[in-house]
Amino acid sequence: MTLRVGLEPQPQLEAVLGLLASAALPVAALRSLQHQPGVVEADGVTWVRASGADLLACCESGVLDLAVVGKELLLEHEPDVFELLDLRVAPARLVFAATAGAREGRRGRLRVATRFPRVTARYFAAGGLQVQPVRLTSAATLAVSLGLADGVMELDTVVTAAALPGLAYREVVARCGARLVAGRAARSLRGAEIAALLARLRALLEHR
Amino acid sequence: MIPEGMRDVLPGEAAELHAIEAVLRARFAAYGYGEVRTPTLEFAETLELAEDDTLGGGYRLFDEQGRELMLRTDMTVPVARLAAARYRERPLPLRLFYVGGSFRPWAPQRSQDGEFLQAGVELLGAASAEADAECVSLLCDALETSGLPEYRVTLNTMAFPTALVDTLGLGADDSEALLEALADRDYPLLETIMANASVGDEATKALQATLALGGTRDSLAQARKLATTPAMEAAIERLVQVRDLVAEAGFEDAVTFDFGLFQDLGYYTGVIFEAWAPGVGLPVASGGRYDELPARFEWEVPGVGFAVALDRLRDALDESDRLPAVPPAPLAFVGGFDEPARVAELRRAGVSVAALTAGVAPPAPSLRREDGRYVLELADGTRTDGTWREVLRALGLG
Repeated sequence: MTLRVGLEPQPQLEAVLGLLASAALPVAALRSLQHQPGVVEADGVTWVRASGADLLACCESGVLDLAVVGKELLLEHEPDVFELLDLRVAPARLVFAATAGAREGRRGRLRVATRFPRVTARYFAAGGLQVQPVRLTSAATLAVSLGLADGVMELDTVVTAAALPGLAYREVVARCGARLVAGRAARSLRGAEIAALLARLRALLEHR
Repeated sequence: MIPEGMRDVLPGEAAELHAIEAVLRARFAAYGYGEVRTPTLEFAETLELAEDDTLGGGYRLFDEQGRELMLRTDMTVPVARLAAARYRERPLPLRLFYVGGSFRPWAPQRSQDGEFLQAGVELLGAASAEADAECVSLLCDALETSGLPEYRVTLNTMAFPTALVDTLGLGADDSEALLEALADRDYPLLETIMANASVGDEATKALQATLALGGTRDSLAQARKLATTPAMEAAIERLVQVRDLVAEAGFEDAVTFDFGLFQDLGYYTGVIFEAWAPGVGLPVASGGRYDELPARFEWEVPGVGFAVALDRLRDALDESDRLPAVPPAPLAFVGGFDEPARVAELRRAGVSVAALTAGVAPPAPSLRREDGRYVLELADGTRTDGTWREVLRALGLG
């Protein structure tokens, strides 16, 4: 059976593909998918392009062996997978960002717009603060401008001064970036193939 | 409507499950295990003795005296209870097996069904590597005999994490963080913790390599490089013994090791293992050593066992097109209700017959009377139109 690998259509995909190509994975076929979700098979690898959350679900159910996903999704979904390697590609920090006075000025619960409601609730609960996560799938920074939320929990690559006018401060919540994960079934059934790939990737990363 | 997490099983699937169960029962019996049945309901306090959130978190109800009952949440705890109560004075070891359903609150995010069917064994009163190996070999034997063409049994030991912390010489806080990262299977975090705790380069590399080889046979040899303390040496040596014994029993190719393997249930103390098959996202079987569980029932004997998840094994067989052959559809005898003697004759000869009233037209295989003659249509399309004797001949009953 072919090795089944999932990738999410993230901005740094080229960097991920470059690394995988250096580790002798035949990535050319994946480029044929353009930017659409889909499945393509070539040279012993079945590539799947889908959203990170979907890839994690596929790894958990045993239909995917490996996936490259952002650490922020692993924090949010806490999937039952093996987090094998930090690929040191697409580094980003998950931050809480707000405009001046938002955090102090508000009475009642702080509203935080985010794609990561569970991380948000956990992070503030650990600090003894109750917040109301406002779950948005793409326009978290816009929510602050529109007054739907007081702050935003997002990747620092998204929360820029341009995206969030009046941005006053940022708290770093977690260091993120592309991670190689394996499903539990793959770990037992494809151990040797995965170990060989891991060794190649680790050697590449050490020589960078 | 039925409660979430429960399901109905229809005749075709039930027959398949039955056939798989029969194979497992036969293999368990071949290794000298005797079947036990325990009640579906236990006193809640019995299951709470396992001191495990999953096992103590079942469906609860009260009897008419107000005592708290629980639907059994697994089979190992009830079997340990039974054995402690009934076999205390008998010679050891004791070999018991069971087939039955257990119940846990439905949790789709953890793939936990409300009711799940298991077939498993418990080997009580034997603490040796030979006992561990017998269970692993029996599991391999049972899975192979069931027809599963491809599977792996992955081994680890509960002694590894604690021995590891000891080996790396970590302080209390770092130990806790490292164990949590190991249990969460977060290896980048594990490496960060080791780097911050100034763990030596050699030990870091050895652990990295050991975990990277998870699911291979080489990981055991690699883990030996970590065995610089007696506890770690003992943990690794035990797995080596088990591997060698399982190899002698003829199942070497099925076994791999993964020092990142964890078992969710709190009663495991020694060797643990899981069986995996392609196309199924959860283990088709899991088990391990639980030396402290019988002592909760004031019977201090060691124990080891495993349970096969029957639904998942069925799915795995389905995935590889190896589902067991199930009995053919019964012969639909149109008008059979009016000819009880003929129906009885066929059934005595071993033909399954579903008697019907006259005038219906069921799918083949079917038998009906037409103008004093019989028309037999078999599932393969053959058609016999003739006397009763000719029908019997066509059915191979000559």
